[in-house]
Amino acid sequence: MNRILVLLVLAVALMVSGAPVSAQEPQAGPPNAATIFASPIHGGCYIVGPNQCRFHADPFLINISSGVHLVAFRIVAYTTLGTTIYDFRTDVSNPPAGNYTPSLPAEDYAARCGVTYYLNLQGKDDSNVNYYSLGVTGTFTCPAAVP
Amino acid sequence: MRTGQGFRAFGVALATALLLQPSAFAGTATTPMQPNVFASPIHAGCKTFTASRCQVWADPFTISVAAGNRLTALRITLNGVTAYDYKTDLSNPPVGNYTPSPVKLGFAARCGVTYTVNLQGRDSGDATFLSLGSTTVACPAPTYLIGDVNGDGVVNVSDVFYLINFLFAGGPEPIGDGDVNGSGDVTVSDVFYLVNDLFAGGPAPV
Repeated sequence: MNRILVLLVLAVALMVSGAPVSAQEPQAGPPNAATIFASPIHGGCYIVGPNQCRFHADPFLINISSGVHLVAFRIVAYTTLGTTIYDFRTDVSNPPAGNYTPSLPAEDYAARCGVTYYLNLQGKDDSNVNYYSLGVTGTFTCPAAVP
Repeated sequence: MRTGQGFRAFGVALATALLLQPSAFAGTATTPMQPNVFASPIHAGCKTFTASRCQVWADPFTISVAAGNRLTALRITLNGVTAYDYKTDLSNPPVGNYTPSPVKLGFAARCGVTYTVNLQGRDSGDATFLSLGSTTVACPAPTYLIGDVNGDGVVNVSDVFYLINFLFAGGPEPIGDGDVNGSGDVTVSDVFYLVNDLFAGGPAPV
């Protein structure tokens, strides 16, 4: 009887510890920005047609410390796992220094209707080995159907 | 003395009740009017997008947040259904006036339908979304029914043949909307979707 109880407790503990990160609780993968300063990202999801949704992110500014240059940034949409929706690289010979505001893509980014996400802006300068988290939105849900 | 205390208690209770129910003065808005996020006018219209589909387009708007609070979320609803769900950065939500950039495409809508477009916002001091502004738009009637690929006014097997002819035999482009399943593209899936609708009781074109 005790053995069954122990097994049950273990199973519950495993289920809890193994639970994937929910889109309800934004927890971006990479650590927070060090030399690239935090850059807020505000955005959401809207419906453009039956079964067609788009992410929209407001323009953002990436602030880089003096002496280093922006190499890359990406926007990652998280549900339980992260999916890169925009991967951006700067000029190899002349990467930007100081503040940089990228322009926005023409038709926003594809999203799945009815799914809850949050967006994470990640950046990397030429002193960084890995990407750093620059900003994270709250969770939002793509509309499921045309109103 | 006791009577005075009773009046005072009644007055406090009445004032509290009124303060807690600002929607009593908010007209027909579906959410209460804003105490902290100020009213933000929304101007919108509805346009044809394809021969059978429409989109609502909203002008840029500015949301003004009271001092000490920060904008956390906004949404745009069409007839009470969310068409745009938007959240600000968790660590650095905007303060003061904030003008979100307009989305690049419109919000999906049904042609021939009249919509109440409502802008709702929420700041760090709000427990729920508050109505910031609203307007009414009438989407133009569709030129063709969804599924009426050949544009003859009805949805039938002729539309299936028309679509097959277009996709596989170099036939003319659809006159109505060939995107029967609403995927955004005209493919063989639309043929199957239409066949399923017409002959197997499948869902109607969307």
